[in-house]
Amino acid sequence: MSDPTPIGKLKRSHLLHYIDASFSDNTAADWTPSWYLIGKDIEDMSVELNPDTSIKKNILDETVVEDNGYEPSVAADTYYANTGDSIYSRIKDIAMNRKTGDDCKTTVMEVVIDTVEGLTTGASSAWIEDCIVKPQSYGGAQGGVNIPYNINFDGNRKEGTVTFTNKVPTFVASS
Amino acid sequence: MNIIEVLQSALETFPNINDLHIDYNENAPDSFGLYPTGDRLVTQDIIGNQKRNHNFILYADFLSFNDYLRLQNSSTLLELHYWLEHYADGQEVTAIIGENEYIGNLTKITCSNGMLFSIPDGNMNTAVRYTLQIAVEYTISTNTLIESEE
Repeated sequence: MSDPTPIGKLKRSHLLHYIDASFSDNTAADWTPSWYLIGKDIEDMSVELNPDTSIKKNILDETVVEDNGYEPSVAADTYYANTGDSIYSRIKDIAMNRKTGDDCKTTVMEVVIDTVEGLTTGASSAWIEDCIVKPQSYGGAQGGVNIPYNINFDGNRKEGTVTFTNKVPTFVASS
Repeated sequence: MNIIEVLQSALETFPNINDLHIDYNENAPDSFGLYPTGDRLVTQDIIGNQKRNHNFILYADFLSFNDYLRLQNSSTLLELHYWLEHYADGQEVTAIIGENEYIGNLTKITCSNGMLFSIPDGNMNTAVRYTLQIAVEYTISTNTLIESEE
């Protein structure tokens, strides 16, 4: 098999974020995620890595950097409530019933499509990780009910690949 | 249907429009002409969904030889104005780009500047021309790989 063809400069739509709208346990043997694509009506969204480092100086006047890792999160600042969305009922439930803890826990999947083959039926690199979904507010201006939410990454990160069949992603973890 | 066909279809369901043309008016009473004046990209979200805007001018020829008729003419435009603003309800719009056909939805119609535009032959006893500017907002999804739930 020939090597994948690099795509060159990536468009923003080549970096995709999904969350599992079933909010089910991704360690279960029968885990069948219902991936919901984040991004509709959002013009700008970034994963904030929030690196936690501290710089200290010892008695020898040497500078030491202590790297405490990352605390990544992403803010979906626009989500217009739509009963046709697979994520709608859970977002509504969390927001209106003030759910906390495991009720807010699901899986986030990040996909980077950086090969020409990945644009069609080929595999693209992907990662899944536990996450906590937290609506930040609800209401908004005239035109629709906006429920912006944050996704806080919660560990158990796994690397793998994703393929699309009829626009539905399927994740396979690397062995 | 592309966005021009969608608006044409909308106008043809308005009760007072029976004779509608594209880029043409018959210079006869109760003749309507829809003139598309261009399309532009408004915004694009991070997964490739576009919000677009298409502008139109509607010209309507009416008899207007007395105040009663002129009031009727302006009232018809006002009624059409209200009617169009309540028409948009997610109707399907298609956009053909190259070999691909993309699907979207009609989201909003706004109108402005409904008024007497010209007296074609300088005689108020024949049909005079009114105008109404129409702006249509719609979405299309240009990403063929990924699914965007609507």
